[in-house]
Amino acid sequence: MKIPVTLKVNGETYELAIAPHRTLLDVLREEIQLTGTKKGCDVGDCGACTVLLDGKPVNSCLILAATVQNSEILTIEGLAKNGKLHPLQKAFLKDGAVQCGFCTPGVLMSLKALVDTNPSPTLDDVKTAMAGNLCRCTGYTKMFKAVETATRSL
Amino acid sequence: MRFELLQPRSLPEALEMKGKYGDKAKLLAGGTDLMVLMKERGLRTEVVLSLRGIRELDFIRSQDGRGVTLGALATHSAVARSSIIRKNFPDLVEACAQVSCIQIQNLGTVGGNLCNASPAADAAPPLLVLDAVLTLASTRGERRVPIHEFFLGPRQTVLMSDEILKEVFIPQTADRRGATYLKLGKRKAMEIAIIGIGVAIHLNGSDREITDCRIAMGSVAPTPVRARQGEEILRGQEVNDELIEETAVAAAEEARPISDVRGSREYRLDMIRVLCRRATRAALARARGNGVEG
Amino acid sequence: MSEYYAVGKSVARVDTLAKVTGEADYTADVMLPGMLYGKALRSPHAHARIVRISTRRAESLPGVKAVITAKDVPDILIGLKLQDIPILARDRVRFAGEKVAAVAAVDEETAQEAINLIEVEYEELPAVTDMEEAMKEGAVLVHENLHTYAGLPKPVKNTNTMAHEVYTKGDTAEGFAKADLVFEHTFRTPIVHQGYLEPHAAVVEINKDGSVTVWSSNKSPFRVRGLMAEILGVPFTRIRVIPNFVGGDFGGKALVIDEPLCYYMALKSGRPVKMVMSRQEEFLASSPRHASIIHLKAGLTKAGELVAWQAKVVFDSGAYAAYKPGVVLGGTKKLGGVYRIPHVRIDGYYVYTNTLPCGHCRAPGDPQATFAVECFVDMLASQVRMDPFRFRWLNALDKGDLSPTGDPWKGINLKETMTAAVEKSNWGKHKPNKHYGIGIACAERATGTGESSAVVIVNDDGSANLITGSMDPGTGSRTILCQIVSEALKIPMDRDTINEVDTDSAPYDQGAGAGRTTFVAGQSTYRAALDVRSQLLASAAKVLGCPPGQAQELIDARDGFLFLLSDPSKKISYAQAVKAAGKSQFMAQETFSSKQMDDTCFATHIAEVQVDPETGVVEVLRVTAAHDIGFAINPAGSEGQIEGGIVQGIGFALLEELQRAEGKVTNPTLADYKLCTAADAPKIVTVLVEGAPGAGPFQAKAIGEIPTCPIAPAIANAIFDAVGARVTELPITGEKIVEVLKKSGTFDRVPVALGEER
Repeated sequence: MKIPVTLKVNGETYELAIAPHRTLLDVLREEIQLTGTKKGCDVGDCGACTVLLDGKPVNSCLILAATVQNSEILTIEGLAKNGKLHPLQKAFLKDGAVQCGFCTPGVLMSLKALVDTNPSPTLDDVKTAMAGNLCRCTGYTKMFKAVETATRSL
Repeated sequence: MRFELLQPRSLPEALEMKGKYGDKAKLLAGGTDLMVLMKERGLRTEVVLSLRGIRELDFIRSQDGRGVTLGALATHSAVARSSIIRKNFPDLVEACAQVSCIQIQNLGTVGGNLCNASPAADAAPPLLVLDAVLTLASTRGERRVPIHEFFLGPRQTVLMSDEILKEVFIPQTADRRGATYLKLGKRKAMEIAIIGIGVAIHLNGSDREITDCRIAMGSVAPTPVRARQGEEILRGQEVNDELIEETAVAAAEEARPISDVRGSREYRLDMIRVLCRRATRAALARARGNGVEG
Repeated sequence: MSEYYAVGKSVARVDTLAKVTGEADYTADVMLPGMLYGKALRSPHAHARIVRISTRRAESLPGVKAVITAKDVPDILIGLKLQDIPILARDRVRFAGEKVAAVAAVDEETAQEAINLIEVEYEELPAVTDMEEAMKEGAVLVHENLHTYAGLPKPVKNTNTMAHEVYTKGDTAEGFAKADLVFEHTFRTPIVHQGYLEPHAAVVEINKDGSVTVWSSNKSPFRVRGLMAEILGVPFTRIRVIPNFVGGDFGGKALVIDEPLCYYMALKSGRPVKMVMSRQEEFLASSPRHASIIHLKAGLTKAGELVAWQAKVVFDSGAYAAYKPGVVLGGTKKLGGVYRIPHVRIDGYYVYTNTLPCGHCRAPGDPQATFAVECFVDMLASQVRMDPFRFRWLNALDKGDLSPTGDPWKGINLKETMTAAVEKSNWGKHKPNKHYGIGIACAERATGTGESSAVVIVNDDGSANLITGSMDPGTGSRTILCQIVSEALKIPMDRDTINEVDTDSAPYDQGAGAGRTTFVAGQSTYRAALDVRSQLLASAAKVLGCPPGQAQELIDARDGFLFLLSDPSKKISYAQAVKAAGKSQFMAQETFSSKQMDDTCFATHIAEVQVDPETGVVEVLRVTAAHDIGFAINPAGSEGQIEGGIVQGIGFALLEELQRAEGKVTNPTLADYKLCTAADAPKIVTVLVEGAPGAGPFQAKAIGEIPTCPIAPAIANAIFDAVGARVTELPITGEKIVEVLKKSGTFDRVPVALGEER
């Protein structure tokens, strides 16, 4: 019933045996204990599970893990490099852009994809990039500010 | 949600599998619809046939001035970003860029969007306006179906149990074309259309005479539909505000919307008129600027 | 800019590093060896008798380790006050979504499959799903034995109206007789969900000695401990509740939801059990904000002075009242608004229906009441041809006035917020275009009361620990408590730590909520820290040769050093002070409890909108929010509360509604239950109006709840200003605006394309 699956996550290769119906989200959380990626709705309506698939933000809850074996997957745990926070992470800390924190990993992944391709985004660019990540705590305002702070330091 | 997962590497292999399993196998492209149906609505299937590994279906290709072909795996973001599409079909770009959100646009494919046959599919109205032609493949061979014949009802298409949508061909359009897609939702993103309207206007040499007008509507009937009576009112006419209004009224008369959690039938009928009028004007303005998206 | 050391500064939150790196563990992230996954079977009917349940097929499915029904759990009713809800439905289901059985299996898939194999035979009963119908004589009774329930506010029988409260001031008959003009209107608000991003989750493990460990997405761990102990019939000491990070609360994370089910399935299977609600379950059966119908009647003089006021609200409680800590909601008392009115009567009714049970949601009842009152006030102003601001100013409460319900409030700072909001907004300026509108609304909400304890320790290396049971569901309260410790002890923020604790290791705290944390937990923390500070001073006095009685006057503390005010070079470190006393630490504990609150907080919001008169689509352009905050301990944190409250309030105003048909929720997804996205967020200008003496440390007031209150009416009033459409039923959808415009004949059938607007 289980099938062998090789996943490349945050630069590491994982050899796993999983059931075919397992989503990338569930595999990240339960098979390789990367619980930083959150499950808020499990059907692509909230963005809490956003990871980067070959550099593009996607809802990991809508992806069967077995179908992305040849892709590079980046999760929140891989955002800081060698113990150094990404400028977005630093700015989120400094600018008070985090409240309950449940949407934060997904938001950061969406924004990482944005600044990778567009290092000086407009407010509208930021809003479009984040529109798939619901946040109930912050009203998004401090997040917009944090992106500004981060892109200034990029 | 338990099933066997098939992951063919080529189209022939996929067609073999689909031929073998037929209705027992559900096709998976982006997963933005099938996964939701399985998780949220309890849809069950014995087999999931993933097309994700079929490289040959992931393309957007110009056909030497005859048009553009989208492979079945072309995602909404790939289409919205494609320079060929941006140059020729701003309405399709607008539709793809208004699908839910970036994450969904990165996963969801235009082909999958059509095959789900949701009345609200954003890509459908522009492709209806463009008279796109769908290539359906099976081990028996291929057939080409004009998009207006493709949809049969909500979640129903002419696809046979052994067929897979291979590609979508968009014929080249005349020079002085202007087109747009307008979507009405409650939020600015993450929306399923209350109403979606695609309009294309073709002009002859003058800025006033409409040689062709095409209107398509989403979320107004069991399938995305053309508003052919509305189109007829403008076709071959010198444009003026009264005619545009008449067109919008005719489009609303052709629609058969229902009331649901997103909006009532009455509101939808009013909004078809409003959006149709606006889209027609916007398309006209673009056509006057040679139909090239600025 | 301030003379303070650590408070009054926008410091980075103490828990953010874990949250930006993905290390922060929420309850669903708890993974235990051998852990099972639980799922619940829910009623498809709004009202039915359970004739028969067969779990045989579910039990025989491989991988299933426990199946439970009502017969496996105690035959009791539970609740935060009114005890009316069973752990699992026993012989009757009262709403579509009520739990009937539960399964624990080796994985979620198997549990779900087993759920589908449970056979339940129902006999459908007539349901009452409309609150006004439910109040009528002869209506279907949701609870026949209501009079036997514990916690019922007043004995009532054979009714769905489980509570009725009345507030009066003066004599309304006399008041209305004096009025020159009398107006009345009815307003409606729907059920809305708290919308926290983290669904409810619970994990229960039964230890070898029979004691129980509970992980719960809950902001009141001590309440979970109490309820679990009550259900299990064991002392508190047998239950340990471990609070994880909580992914948003807004009032919805204060109850036990699946914890008892996890326990009984853990008992049956001998393995730990986790349950995480799906988003759909959240919408079908959590504890959202009550729907309301509000009727207001006002008497005015020709000059526009309010002389009499009558209000009646019906709150749809749903099938159970168990999720409300007080049965009734504070919002009823807000139905007189923030105005000086001599004669007032308010009636609040709480009614059972066969709908999902409602509970507490950020300022329970207040946004409903404020929407009605502040829209009505604008309508009254236009009746007497006054500008909405001037009308409010004329009637606004001032220092020394009694509240509309006759309470003597302290520190009435309403007009200060009105002035501040007007100054920072475009109020009174020229409209930039025809369909732009601006609207104002005010609100009041008291600081919350309750009980909290804190232990503050200074170690013999000079660092400090704070131990408190106070939870931070995302508001930043733990950071504020650390700032308070740093301020009291004058040590940098990186020298103190707030300990991760559970109900075994922390002193009691009532739980976050009602805007109490800064005040109650803040006071207990501040007082404990000051106590430790005087221990440090006393020890330093000995070392530095000061008379012990004068330590407070002669010695000061800063940056971890104690020094003589007369000669700062004579100093010792905190570490030395602790060691000099022959100790390893100085420690103090403080319990602070407050039951009565006469301090309250005010806010004024001004919303600017653009309305598309053809589609009814509203864009909120800018919100100016002035809040009477006393003192902002962490200004960025206060702004964050306000900004979040405003965007949540925009959802309440324009988007959010749990739609129902025959009692069943018809839009139980985040696709169709619409929270604002980033693209919908307006520009927000916040003004923190400081200076009024609050009850909290450094005279801080509360800020957590009030930002959600004035925003919806401010938007409704702005929409009216923009297109002349007065929508009195939330949410104000484009469809409703178009409907009003059509009725009034102003829905323009002649094209007015937006592009032509200037």
